[in-house]
Amino acid sequence: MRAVYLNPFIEASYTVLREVFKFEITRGDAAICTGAITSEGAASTIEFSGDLSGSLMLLMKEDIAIKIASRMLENIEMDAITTLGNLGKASITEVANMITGRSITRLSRLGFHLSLSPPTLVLGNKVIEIKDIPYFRIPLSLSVGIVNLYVAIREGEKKYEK
Amino acid sequence: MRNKGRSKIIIADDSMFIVRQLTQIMMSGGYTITESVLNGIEAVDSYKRHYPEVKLITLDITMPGMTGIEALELILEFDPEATVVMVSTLGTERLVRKSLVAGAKGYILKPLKRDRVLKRLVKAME
Repeated sequence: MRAVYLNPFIEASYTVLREVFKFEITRGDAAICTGAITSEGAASTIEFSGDLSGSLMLLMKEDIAIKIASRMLENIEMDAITTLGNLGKASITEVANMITGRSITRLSRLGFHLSLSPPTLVLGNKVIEIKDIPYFRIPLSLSVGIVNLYVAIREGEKKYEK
Repeated sequence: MRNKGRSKIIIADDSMFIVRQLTQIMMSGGYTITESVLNGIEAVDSYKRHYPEVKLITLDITMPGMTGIEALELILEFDPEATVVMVSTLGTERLVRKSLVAGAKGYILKPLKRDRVLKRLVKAME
């Protein structure tokens, strides 16, 4: 996967988590994943298609998801949550939505036009099979715990030309 | 032309978090939320049910079942004077232009910021 495609996702994850939701964040080493990924408690996924295709996943333990959702809700003057109910789930999927949306907006400035699918959230420890595109995993260490960002991108006929 | 005074608004967004956030922002600006719905089909239905009292509807663009753009077109077919504001995480020039050409009166980019949202609403209802 070319860095020019991956970087917008990494930058957007920083912007959303640090600037929008005010989390301290440091990035771990990126790795390539093939075969299967084990969900750690909460996994939010968004697919995109168009000039490029692929998906973004945010995986985290459920207690981390609760802490992130609580921070988001407190930012809009709502109470923190103690379990991942409907509002907590919606908050976590919105994080993935905002990161992917910003990434796609950035890619559009490079000439790549993409559309998004509505985000989904899977709870529990589940195995997510990777069928044909390898994922890049980037661990993001937040003050509340680790969130793993997974990004898979496939080039279409249109290629990036500097 | 119908009176576009500030008052009743419908919110259509498949994210309950965004619905809560928009509700909080709009109420702090003195608006009344008539109804919030989670997809484009419900948005069109809600607008028709609350017409002509509703003054503005916000539409998320990426929603299951029917997109915000499709809902925008159906609402404007029903009421050519409808005040519709699109809300999206996607800020691509192509999508913004498509929305405005289709008849949207404004475009709000997520993440939402209170002042920016309220300014866009005022401008859309001018």
